[in-house]
Amino acid sequence: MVMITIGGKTMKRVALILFFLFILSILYPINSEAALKLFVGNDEVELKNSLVMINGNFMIPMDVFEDYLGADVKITPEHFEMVFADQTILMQLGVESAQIDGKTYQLDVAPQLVEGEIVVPIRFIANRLGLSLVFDQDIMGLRLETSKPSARRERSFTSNLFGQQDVQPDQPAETETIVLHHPDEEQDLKEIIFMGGPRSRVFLDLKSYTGYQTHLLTEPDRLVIDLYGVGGDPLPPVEVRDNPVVRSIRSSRFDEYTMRIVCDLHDSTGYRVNPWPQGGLEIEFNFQLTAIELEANDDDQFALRFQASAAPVIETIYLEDPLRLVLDLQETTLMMRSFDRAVNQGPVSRLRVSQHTPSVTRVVLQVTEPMAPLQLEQLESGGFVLPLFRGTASQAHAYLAQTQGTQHEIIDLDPVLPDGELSGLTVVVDAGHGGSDPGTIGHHGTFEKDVNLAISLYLGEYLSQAGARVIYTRDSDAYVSIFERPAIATQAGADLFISVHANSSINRGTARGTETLYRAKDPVSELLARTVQDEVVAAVTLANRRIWGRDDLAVFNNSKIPAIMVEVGFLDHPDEELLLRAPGFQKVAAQGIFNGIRRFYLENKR
Amino acid sequence: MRWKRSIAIAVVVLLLLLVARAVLHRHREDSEILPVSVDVTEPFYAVYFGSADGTQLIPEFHQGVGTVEERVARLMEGPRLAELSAVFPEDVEFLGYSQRDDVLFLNFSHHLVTRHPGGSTGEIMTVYGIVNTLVGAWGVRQVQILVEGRQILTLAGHLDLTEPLEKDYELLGSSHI
Repeated sequence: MVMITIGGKTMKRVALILFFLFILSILYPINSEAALKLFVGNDEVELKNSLVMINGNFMIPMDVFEDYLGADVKITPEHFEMVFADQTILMQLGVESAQIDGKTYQLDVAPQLVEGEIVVPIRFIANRLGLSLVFDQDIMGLRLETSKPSARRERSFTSNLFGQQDVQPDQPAETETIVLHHPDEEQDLKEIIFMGGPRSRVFLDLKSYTGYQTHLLTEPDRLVIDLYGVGGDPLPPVEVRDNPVVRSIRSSRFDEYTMRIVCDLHDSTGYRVNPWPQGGLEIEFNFQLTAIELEANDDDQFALRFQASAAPVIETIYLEDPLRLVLDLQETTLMMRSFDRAVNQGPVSRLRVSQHTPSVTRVVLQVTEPMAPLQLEQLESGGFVLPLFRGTASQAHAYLAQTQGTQHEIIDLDPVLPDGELSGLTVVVDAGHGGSDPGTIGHHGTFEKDVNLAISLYLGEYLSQAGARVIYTRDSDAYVSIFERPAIATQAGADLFISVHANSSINRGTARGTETLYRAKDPVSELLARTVQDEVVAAVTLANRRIWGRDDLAVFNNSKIPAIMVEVGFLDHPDEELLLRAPGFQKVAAQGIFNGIRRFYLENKR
Repeated sequence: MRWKRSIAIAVVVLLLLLVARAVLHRHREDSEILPVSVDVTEPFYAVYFGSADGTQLIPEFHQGVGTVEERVARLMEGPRLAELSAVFPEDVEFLGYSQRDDVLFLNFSHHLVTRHPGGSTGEIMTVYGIVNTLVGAWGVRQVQILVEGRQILTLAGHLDLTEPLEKDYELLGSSHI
């Protein structure tokens, strides 16, 4: 109820201002000599020309800052500078942005030259100086004043200007100053951005907040997020088109301290809220499972065929008595009725599908003999197929290794290593991208983040087996900022930082091969890169591109630990994508990186 | 005084001729890629595109002083030579620029991030294709890329773009001359 009252009030205020400005523009044409006056506090500004309004923005001459607001104005051919006591504002003629202390701000209107005077948008300046821009009817002009006037002036402008007959009967004439604009110091909700993607992400750009609470509601389906400690005005609604999950995103003021965000949904679905380290909140909606069925082919092989918005991560659990294969689809919402039915196809006797937890959809196959899932495949039609292996999990593993590791027979896939060779060494294994950042995406829909994580986990396993202490920047599909990753390494007191990535070029599919980047002008990083590059190329046998010193990668900066980034192959190249997504190849790549680290350590330790 | 100026101008023209000749010569020799020819006695500028393998930035020359608008427009049009690779992803709009001292701020639409294919190679080609082309425009020594008027942390998850960047000479195909 509170919301509606405030909404109505704001609407009325806006309508009144618009109507008033309209009347004003008729009574006082903008080019008339007796147009609006301008006051700064109680001082009237001597205007050479009348105030100009462009795209709904009042423009004021630069001289006003020098003469009335104590600024030092400097004009050079390139730009002009307004030096205030606490800040310097830089603008350019015809450019819709301003710079303040190195930061760039968007302007509604670019500064212009009007009748030989430079005019700038008053609203932006008022914001920066913490001033309110008020229309004062007594003086028939605008007044710039400090944002919280000590005594609130009361005035019934409607009755004075339009006569009583113009006052709408259902709205009592209110007495208030018309505030055209308040400084947006308290504008805590800066932007609502619909980011899309397979997980339908929404980003709330917030200056600050003290907390939040979410409610998933039905009839109509919607997700409500109450943001605490968020002042300022709500933003216009964001309409979302052609998205299976979100229809629109609205904001409104719930009470003095709370901003309410409502995401209108097509269907109720699970979600996750990720606070971003730089501020702001991201809402990530679940993958959606819309159909699932068991199918058998002629060779008496079975597979689960399903329709989902994207490939979810599947965790497998094997249960006995009765024998069951449990597949947990992570962060997936079941978009149909759950069911439990007898199927009696081959070894599968029952199939049960349900929403196990808000974020996990559970598929249970009751079987008469052991079965294990193989690699998830994406169909060109958009669906997915999960082939099922008739045998135990270890047999399925062996089968996979046999079918996919054939091209690398020379390399031992599960190496037996002397224990403790690397003891005393702490390695940070950094799987690139993750969570809401998929990295590059291959032609067949392989996400770089998944390839990076798989290789990193194998690498971590080999390093641990050899006695090294392994710290992962992420060991699941999670978003970790690239600025946070070096901090994790520093905090862990790590000796080496190994970032694992897959590459892409702009002209997709044109480049191939392995390269290793290292922190520029750091001989230790360079030597590590050279050794690792040699070993990875020897292992994966892709083209040897180069090792490359860079001083501009975020994960290399902000720490002094020797750091490299291995770009194993090009995911945008169709051939290399097929390799990168195969677990056999991922193991070989991890083995190559491991061999490089091991050789580097053994050859260079004191 | 006038003869001093004349000599200075002559020396500058001669140097430019030598540099351009060396660049043209090298590409004729190495890769049969001949950058678009320009009259080097008149003002000209370079626009950088990626080599096919994404390891270098190769200049393409254009006649004129090369204002910021011209350079960005040429860069967004893409290379004239089929052997070179564009540095911009599709659908990117140039929203404007401003300059503060020797730092140029370029503002692009969100497509620069959302349509970017990713990869450290792709990201470096895009960012330094832009930076290397714009450093050299009047008074520009550093470039900061903004998206929808805002500072960005990174473009594709590798480069730190919170600070303005300088020209990367290591990437230049012509740096061997």
